[in-house]
Amino acid sequence: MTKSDLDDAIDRAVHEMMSAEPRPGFRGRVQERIIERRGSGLGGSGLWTRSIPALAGSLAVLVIAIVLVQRGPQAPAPATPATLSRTETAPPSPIPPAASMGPAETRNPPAPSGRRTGPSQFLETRMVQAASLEDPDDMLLEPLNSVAPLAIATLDATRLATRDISIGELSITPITVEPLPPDGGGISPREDR
Amino acid sequence: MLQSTDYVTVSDSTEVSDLDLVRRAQSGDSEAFGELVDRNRRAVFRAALAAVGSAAEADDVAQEAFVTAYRKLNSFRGDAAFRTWLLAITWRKAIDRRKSVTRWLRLTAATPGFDDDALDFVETVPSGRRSQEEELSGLELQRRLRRLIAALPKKLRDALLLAGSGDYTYEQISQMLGCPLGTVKWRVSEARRLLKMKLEAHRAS
Repeated sequence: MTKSDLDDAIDRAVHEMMSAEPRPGFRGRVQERIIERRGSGLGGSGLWTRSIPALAGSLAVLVIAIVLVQRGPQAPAPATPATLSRTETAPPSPIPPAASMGPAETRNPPAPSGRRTGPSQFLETRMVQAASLEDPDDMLLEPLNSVAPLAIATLDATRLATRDISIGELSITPITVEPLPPDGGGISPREDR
Repeated sequence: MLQSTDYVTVSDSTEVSDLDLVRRAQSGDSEAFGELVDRNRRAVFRAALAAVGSAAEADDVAQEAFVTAYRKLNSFRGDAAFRTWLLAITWRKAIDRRKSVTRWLRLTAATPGFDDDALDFVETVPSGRRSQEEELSGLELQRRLRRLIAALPKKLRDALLLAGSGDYTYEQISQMLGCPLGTVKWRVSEARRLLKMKLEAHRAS
């Protein structure tokens, strides 16, 4: 079998694979689907577009309501000026800047006893709720103990020392390229091109 | 409002361009959109078939493509040909279908010997013992070729099937696949080269 025969065979195979037709009544089925989508409120792009903000708003209200219900009647911890300052000016970062690093005890202040971090507090609340759900008669949740205010030692920032930077003169070594020999120097053209 | 009786064949369809029909459909003429469906249904269906490999799924994808085109018709401004725009929608729908987890699960359950490249094209191939004469016949060659095409890498297979169907220009295929024209041509050529190489290797063995 020649290359041409193989090409013809490939053409025939592809043609056979692609020779199918849509089932009769295609136009009617498309029409029915459009009407069906319109009936379900998904067909009109305008309606669909308008409904997205309403859905998003409803979802946001629902999430806020769930969060408020989960928090319960617990009073918020009083915020000290130090806490506020820490929250507003120094957001938590995985890699603290070197310039703001002070002594070790300043970088890692010991957490006050009784203080719970956000995630652990959340988990503990969850665990309390899960335990209460096991006993349907005891649905009343005890309010959590008041949380001691967070105390953070004053950060002692040391001055960053920088070295002077000077620009040296650029030196360029001339490059000479040897001409290739007439036979190409034994380099053969790539076979896959 | 689109009604069941709205679709009426446009008598002088040969004299009305796709763009004219689009303009009429944009202004609420559902009969004009029905004519666009009739004109493009085969091209849309076969583009979907090239991607999903099953006539039943291609029919479903093609319908979805027309529904989407109908919803987005007001966003069509006529910068490109309507068919090119429609085919791009179709191809996205078809690729989404191909990637769907449901389809993947069905394929792996039905044809455990194939990966997700396998298509239903080859499901019509009867199995069992074949005679020596049949082995040598063109029919067997066609069966083998269909299996080999189905097992090609998806990018090569897509380009080969779309180009080989004869329903699309290379420019349209380029728009559908989202790659340059030269890349489409290379993929078709590479697909043919691989098929020939595998066929000859099989014959030699």
